[in-house]
Amino acid sequence: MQRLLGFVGIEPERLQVRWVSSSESDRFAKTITEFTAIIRKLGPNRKLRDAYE
Amino acid sequence: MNEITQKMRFAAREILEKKEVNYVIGWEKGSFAYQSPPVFIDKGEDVDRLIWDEFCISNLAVYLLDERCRETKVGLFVKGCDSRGVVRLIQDRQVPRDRVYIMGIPCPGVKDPVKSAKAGREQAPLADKCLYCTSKNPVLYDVILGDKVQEGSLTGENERFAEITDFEEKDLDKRYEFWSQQFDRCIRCFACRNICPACNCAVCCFEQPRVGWLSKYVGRSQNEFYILTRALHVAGRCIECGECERACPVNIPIMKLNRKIIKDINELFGQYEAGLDLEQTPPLGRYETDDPDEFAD
Ligand code: SF4
Ligand code: SF4
Repeated sequence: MQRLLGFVGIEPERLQVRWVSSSESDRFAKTITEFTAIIRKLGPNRKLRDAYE
Repeated sequence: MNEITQKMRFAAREILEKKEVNYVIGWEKGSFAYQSPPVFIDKGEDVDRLIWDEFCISNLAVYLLDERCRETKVGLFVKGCDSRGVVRLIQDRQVPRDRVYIMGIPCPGVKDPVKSAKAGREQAPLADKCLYCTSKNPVLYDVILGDKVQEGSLTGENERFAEITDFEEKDLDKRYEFWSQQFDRCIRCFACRNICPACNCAVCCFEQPRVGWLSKYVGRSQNEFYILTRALHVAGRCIECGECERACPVNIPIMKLNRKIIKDINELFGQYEAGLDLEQTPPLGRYETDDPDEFAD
């Protein structure tokens, strides 16, 4: 999916898929923190913004 | 009249007269020299409408879906690629094997109707899909009409993905620009879905307008959502018959997405050609503990 998004020109890092069990709270927090950091760096997505504006 | 046409008519007449099938699906000559549209024949006396020529590009396998809830038995003419469509449908449990009588035709390649309209019958080039085709002879059949042709792709495996590799190297925003222009044109006619032997769900998720996150809104984002979703739904099952791209009225290069996904699957899961073997499950249809994580990402 990341590969396909990249192929059509969307930053692939905007999509992350991780496996976290409901008992792994630390891992969950860590995953989300990492993801927010990635997104902050990329900034808001301006692509594909037609439908609901 | 060529030899295969003769054999087709003979075979069709025989099974129709013996009432082995309810009807036969083949090709006939239409209004234009460069097009041979599908024909459905249910009477022995009509078999002379059947023809075989270099414009029999339509993949007739998809019409089997019309019979999925009935007891009908159908006689079906297939080229190499079409036979992979039949394998697709049987493997996806859409059509039982014993309800279709498959008459295979070894195919040296067919011509692109649009290019033929411009270039004329003689000069017309082969359709793109035929250049990369590696299954010219039907992979599944009850009878075969004519001698087998030489296998092997005309351009070689590298050429098949050359366009994809080139495109991958372009700048991200260039890629976005290219594809958004393509997606903007989609009119959501659903022709690409309806003609596809891998798109065989009885009710398509895009027919459910109340879901909210899917919609029939025709605009860049939702069009992109539709086209990419469809591409991923057929991932690992697409047989590269090229029908989606041919049917698209606005010429969206759908095959470029399909081939990109095939290339990724080959890289991640090992070489796989869909619809060649009834027994082999598609890579995304089974689970192994050593599957690469990357595809989900
Ligand atoms: S996605 Fe296109 S090329 Fe692939 S099976 Fe469907 S119609 Fe054929
Ligand atoms: S055939 Fe083309 S225009 Fe029609 S829904 Fe598919 S991509 Fe869109």
